[in-house]
Amino acid sequence: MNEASGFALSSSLGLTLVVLFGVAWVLFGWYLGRANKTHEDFALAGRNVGFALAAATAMATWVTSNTTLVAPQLTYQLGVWGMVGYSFAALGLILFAPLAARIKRLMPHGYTSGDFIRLRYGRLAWYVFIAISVVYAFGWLVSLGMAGGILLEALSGLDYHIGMTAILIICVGYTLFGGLRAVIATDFIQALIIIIGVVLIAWFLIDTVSLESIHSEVQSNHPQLLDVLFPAAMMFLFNNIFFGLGEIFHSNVWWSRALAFKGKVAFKAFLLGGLLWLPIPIVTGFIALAAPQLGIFPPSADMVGPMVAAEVLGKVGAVVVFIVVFSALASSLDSLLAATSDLVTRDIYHKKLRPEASDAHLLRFNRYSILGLGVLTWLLCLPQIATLGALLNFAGAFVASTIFPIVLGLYTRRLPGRWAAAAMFFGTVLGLTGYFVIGFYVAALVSCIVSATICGLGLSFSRSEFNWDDLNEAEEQQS
Amino acid sequence: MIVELTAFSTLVWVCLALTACAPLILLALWLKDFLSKQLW
Amino acid sequence: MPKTSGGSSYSFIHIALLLLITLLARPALAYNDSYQLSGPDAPSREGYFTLSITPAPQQQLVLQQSQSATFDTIDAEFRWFGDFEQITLTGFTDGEYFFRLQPAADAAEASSNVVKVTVNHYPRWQAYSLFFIGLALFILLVASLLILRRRV
Repeated sequence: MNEASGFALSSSLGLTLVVLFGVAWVLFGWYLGRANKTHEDFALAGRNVGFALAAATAMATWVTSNTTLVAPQLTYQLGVWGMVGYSFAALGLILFAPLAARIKRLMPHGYTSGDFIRLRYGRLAWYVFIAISVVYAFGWLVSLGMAGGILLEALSGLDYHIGMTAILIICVGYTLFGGLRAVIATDFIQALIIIIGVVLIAWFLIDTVSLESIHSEVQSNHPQLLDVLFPAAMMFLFNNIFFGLGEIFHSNVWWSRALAFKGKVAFKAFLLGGLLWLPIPIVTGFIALAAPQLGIFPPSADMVGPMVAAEVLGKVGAVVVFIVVFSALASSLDSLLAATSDLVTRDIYHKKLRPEASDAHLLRFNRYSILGLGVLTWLLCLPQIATLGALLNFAGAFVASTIFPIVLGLYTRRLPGRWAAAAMFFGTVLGLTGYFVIGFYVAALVSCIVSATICGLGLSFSRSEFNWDDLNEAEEQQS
Repeated sequence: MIVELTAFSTLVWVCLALTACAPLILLALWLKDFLSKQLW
Repeated sequence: MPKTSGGSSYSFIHIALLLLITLLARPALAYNDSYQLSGPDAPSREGYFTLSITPAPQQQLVLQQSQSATFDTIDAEFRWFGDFEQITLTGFTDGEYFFRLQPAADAAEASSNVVKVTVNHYPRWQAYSLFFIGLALFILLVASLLILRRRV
């Protein structure tokens, strides 16, 4: 690559930083991984994670690159409602708090969300659920991998393929050595980096252009952005909330955390994680409202956050953006790798293919599947197809259909498996129809309404009673 | 209905203050868990 | 965090472009092309929209906004960013807006065609009904959680 260019970092410095970060994290992962003796240690950090690490990991995983980039974008497009609406995604973590406590109580020895669906609702619902989980997990994994490559290229001129490969190797590396323990410990540090970074940018911005001048400029020239009754923003609000709820309620990323946290910690940790997350989108979002004041009119709305940061802080701003986004990427990528490989190991390999596998065998297979997922993600990231990111746009239709089946499955005995399967299937199909026929702002909403209606019908027609003890299946093997 | 300056700046300042507190809260909790050997 | 909660596009591509351009910041050439400006085909329902030009700008440009096609009064001016081929404007209320390009250094004649953009927000009833449907569903969810939680 061109060394003499005006990139914020030279490509050799960029590569050095990445290698230093990488070596540090992989060593840290290896250090933490020494305590892992069993598959349970590896996949669920020994089921004994304390409050501080639990709350930090809940928060950091939910801060993805999008919190730092899409929050300003939505604020630029939808004004004050955009950032406030985005911050309501914290409701996903907050409402998951009681569910997490319930999950921990019902399945003290469970491993994954797929376990729950299979035991509670049976084979048919499990297939629908796994399909939804795979679409969601791969869409997210691939977009994170690509984002890593593009970010490095943008900042240092490092070739996309080198950067993308580097971030995947780093995240696969420390997850491979340390398992969930490494994921959670790095999340703690990444959470601190992310928060301090966004606070710095916001602080310098307020110091440079006052809130008064931002407000008066927007009020006189872009009044719609301050309108409480902005139609598009009102339509977006609940759709976004249901999207977030669906993401958290169904994904094994959150279930494995609920199962890994110490006894009574799960409830408190998700609640605190949600409350800590709540103000962040407003802090990252409001900087977009300073754009008109600074004379910045971005080529596309998703660039507004970094543009304002770079304008206010110059090259330092670009580096801060780099560190924050890199940490946000890694904190989600590692979690997703760990949780998805657990799903593959536990739900597909152990429960479908090799029920007699020993604990050591499962531990080994779990590592192979992290590696395999990393390689698969790498292959999918190679062509750098931007439209893959668009996959996530309609993921709302998929995930929102799982909200009611999960909640009702955890709390009532009555809802039978075929109704739950129908709720998830038709919720997804009609949600997608809504997305293409009406617009993005109804996908999750329609999906959730359809799914809730089918669940309601299932509850009123069914007389079956599920036996909670069936959730604790006997393990076929012991180490 | 326009969001007034006071409402806007209160919202931003409160959120900034809460976000700035977050690392302190997390570090304090970490220290507490660490001292009582409850981290893992 | 929700990935992309508003039909939003894939951020990093654009950030990459942005940083490449801002950091490279090549000097503007003093060309005197005329530019082809184009706007959205359909009216904007959200109050934001993207305008594009071909070819990519060779000089510092200013986008002028007016309520009349003849630009009797200029309502606002926006600095075109670098040599990007697009600009996204936001926060418009219902109405018809006309745009044209001018070189930043004062030249009297327009150096592009004029583009008309119509902004027509979603009707209030539609926004309110989706909002209240969502609210009702949310209340149903929270209520079921609270009730079911007490029952078990």
